[in-house]
Amino acid sequence: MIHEGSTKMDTDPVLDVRGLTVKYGDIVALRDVSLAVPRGAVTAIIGPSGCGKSSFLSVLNRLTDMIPGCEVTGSVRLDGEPIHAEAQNLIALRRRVGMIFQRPNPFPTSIRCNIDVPLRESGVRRRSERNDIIRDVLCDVGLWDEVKDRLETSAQRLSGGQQQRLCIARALALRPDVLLFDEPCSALDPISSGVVEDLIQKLRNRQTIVIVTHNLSQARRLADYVAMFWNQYGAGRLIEYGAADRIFEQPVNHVTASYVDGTVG
Amino acid sequence: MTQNRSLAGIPANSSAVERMATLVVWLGAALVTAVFLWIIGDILRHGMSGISWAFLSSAPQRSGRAGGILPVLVSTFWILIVALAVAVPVGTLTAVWLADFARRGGRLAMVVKACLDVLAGVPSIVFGLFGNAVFCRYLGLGYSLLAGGLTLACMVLPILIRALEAEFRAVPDDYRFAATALGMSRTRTVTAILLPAALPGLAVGLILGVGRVLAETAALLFTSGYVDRMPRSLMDSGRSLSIHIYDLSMNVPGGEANAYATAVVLVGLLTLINGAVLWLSDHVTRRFHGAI
Amino acid sequence: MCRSRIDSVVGGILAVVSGAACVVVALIFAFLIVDSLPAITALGVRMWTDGSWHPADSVSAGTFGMAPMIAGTIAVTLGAVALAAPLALASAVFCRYYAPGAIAAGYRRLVHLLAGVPSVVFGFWGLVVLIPILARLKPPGPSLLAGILIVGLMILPTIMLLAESALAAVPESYVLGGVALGMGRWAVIRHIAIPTARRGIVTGVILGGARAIGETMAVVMVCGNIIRTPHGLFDPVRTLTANIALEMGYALGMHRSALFVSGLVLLVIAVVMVAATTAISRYPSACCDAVV
Ligand SMILES: Nc1ncnc2c1ncn2[C@@H]1O[C@H](COP(=O)(O)OP(=O)(O)OP(=O)(O)O)[C@@H](O)[C@H]1O
Ligand SMILES: [Mg+2]
Repeated sequence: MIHEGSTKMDTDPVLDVRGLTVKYGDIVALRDVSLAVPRGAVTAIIGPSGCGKSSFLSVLNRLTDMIPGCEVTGSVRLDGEPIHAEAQNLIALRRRVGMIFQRPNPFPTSIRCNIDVPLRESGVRRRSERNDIIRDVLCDVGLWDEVKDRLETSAQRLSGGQQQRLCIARALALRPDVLLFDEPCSALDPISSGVVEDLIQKLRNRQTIVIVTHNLSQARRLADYVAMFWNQYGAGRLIEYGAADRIFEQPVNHVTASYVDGTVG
Repeated sequence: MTQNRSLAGIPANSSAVERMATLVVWLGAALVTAVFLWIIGDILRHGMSGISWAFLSSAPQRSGRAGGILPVLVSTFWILIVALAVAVPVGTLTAVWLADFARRGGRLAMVVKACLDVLAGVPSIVFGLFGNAVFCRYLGLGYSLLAGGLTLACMVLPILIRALEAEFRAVPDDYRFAATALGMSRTRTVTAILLPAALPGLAVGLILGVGRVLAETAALLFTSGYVDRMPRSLMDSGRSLSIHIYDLSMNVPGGEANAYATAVVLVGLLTLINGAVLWLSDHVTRRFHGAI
Repeated sequence: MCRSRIDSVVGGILAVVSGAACVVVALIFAFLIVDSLPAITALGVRMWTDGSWHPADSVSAGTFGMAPMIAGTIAVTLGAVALAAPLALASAVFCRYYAPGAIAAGYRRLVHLLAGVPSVVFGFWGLVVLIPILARLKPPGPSLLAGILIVGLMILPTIMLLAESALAAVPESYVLGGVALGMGRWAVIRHIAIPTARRGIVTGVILGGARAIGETMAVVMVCGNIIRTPHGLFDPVRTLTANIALEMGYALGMHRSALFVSGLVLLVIAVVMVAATTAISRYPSACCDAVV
């Protein structure tokens, strides 16, 4: 693997992944992946279908624990603390590492409840405080003006793009350290997709972001750093990782080169 | 498979509400389990000692306080035969029609389905009234095994049809397309392919129906009656196992011991049936997964 | 698909046979209405308002007030549902979200067995085990409370199995979404799973209630059957179904007709409840979108 000696990447990573292997029974989804996610930047993960990108994201908030038969080895540190430690509080971890799924998955309750319930569970007792946060995050994702008069209606009546922004808002409400996006635009129409992408652009300066995308031009527009995953010998591997400009302009690995050219994958 | 996957992996937080909920849920399940074991344990403990070959093969004496249950078993058997002899053909044909002939969503099919839903919801005592009015009085059958069996046939019809129709629908459409492509008529497709393919499902429906008939009491009170002598024909009155239990416990002081023993026989039969249904449905699913 | 002649003939025959279900429903209504008419025309509203039931063959010789029995049916049903619904929901949640796989499977099997126990066996157990215990608490023993406990136990499997399949149908993405937001187990269940599954849960409760209203044998055996509007849990009661079961055997004339009226009432309630569950599955938003 080609690794780059950039100072920013090595000095202060939020997430530090070492020797990560993920197996589902006999299937090896990822083998021996090491990668440091820099603080405050957008890291894009690209690669063909089935090379373990989603699995990688799910390790970072330990959603893999929900999958029976899924086995994770290696070490992942969040701010220096190992997240697979015996004493790790999973609920606290998931509040610090938020996740946005490929298909928008608002709960079938009201728009307000979608944000209010997780917020209350996270310990914000005062109603007025929660209402303030709800307004703030809905403003952040640009939904406030669209929904402020119908906060009590069902979230499922929103359009796909609005639903996805609501999901981002409810993740933001918990003030996570890191936000994981798993192909957040791929289930949306081009217009909604553009709106969501603009939103991620807006968040980039406040938030560490890891985003999986199949859309290379989106990766070009958004990413500070790019990690290229590839299927080798029946297992997903990280084959190249570095600053976005370099990966796109002067890739070292020839597979990466042809992938970003669009000739394979 | 998803049906059986437990999501027990969701982490619990450390709040009091969470701990309370966990406690309540486990206690609830424990309570249900305990009561169930209590009931079954009590019936077995008091009833097993009464079970013997003599009990199964002799007639009741002194209103059932002593003696056995042979005539009761025979009556139950005849009621069962009558009910199934009527319900199985009608049920099978209806299920075939619903699954393979009726236009999906057609008006007639909707009406039939609505009627089946209603029939499945009618309380059994109302079936008893109906059977008494129609079979015993209007058709002049009197209190008889025939009247009781016919009443129960109406009652199990929706159960049979639901099980069978689901089974016919579960036969992969590929079979139908293939048969049509070979120029077979629909009738031929049904008899040559669908019925054999759905045979295990037929058995499941049948066994479910048997279970329902054996468990029924209220619908038989005024149709097949109470008589505990050996029936000589279908026109004789005769009591089922469930009515025997009812009568011994309510109307016969000192009948408790034999009521317990009869309950063991009845619950034993029903447990066998339950096991057969489970075994068969596992078997059926495996067959189809192999077939596709 | 081309339809051959034989197919249209066979299809026609099957359609006629399928009409049997409709004929039975029509006959049930027809006979119940016809046999109820004498009492309805002769007694009118007095049947509903009059508090005393001293039936006789003719109108002048007796009184025919069903009010106490209606009160009994309502009390037993509401009590049984209030007891069974929370326990059933806890059981369903237990199977889906708390129990490890093997325990969940075992518990599910146990509930299936419980569902197969005939009502006469529940009634018998209530009579010989439960009632003596209640009698020690507060005589006489056979009471509304006994009926609620037994009927509650009987409808628990119905509600639990329907609630569990509704919970199983909750999309996994909702649950994972909640987990990814750091919600604890109970919060996911309370705020995501149950609201999403509420339609199925409500259907289960309605069907459980319908079973409770129609339940006869267990109620006859444990409720004491005294015709009086109950004022407390330990008062004996008689339900509409029990009244039919107890008196139909010797009722004649106006008395018989009055019993058919109560059967008709039960039938109409059953049909309304079936219609309610159909409406819930067809028009989900109409009934419970607002209830979150
Ligand atoms: N729950 C699971 N059980 C078994 N195998 C799984 C599971 N989830 C993923 N896999 C397997 O792990 C491998 C990696 O899957 P993953 O979803 O991480 O890929 P991906 O890169 O996200 O693909 P895509 O671009 O299609 O989303 C695949 O071979 C997949 O079949
Ligand atoms: Mg993926």
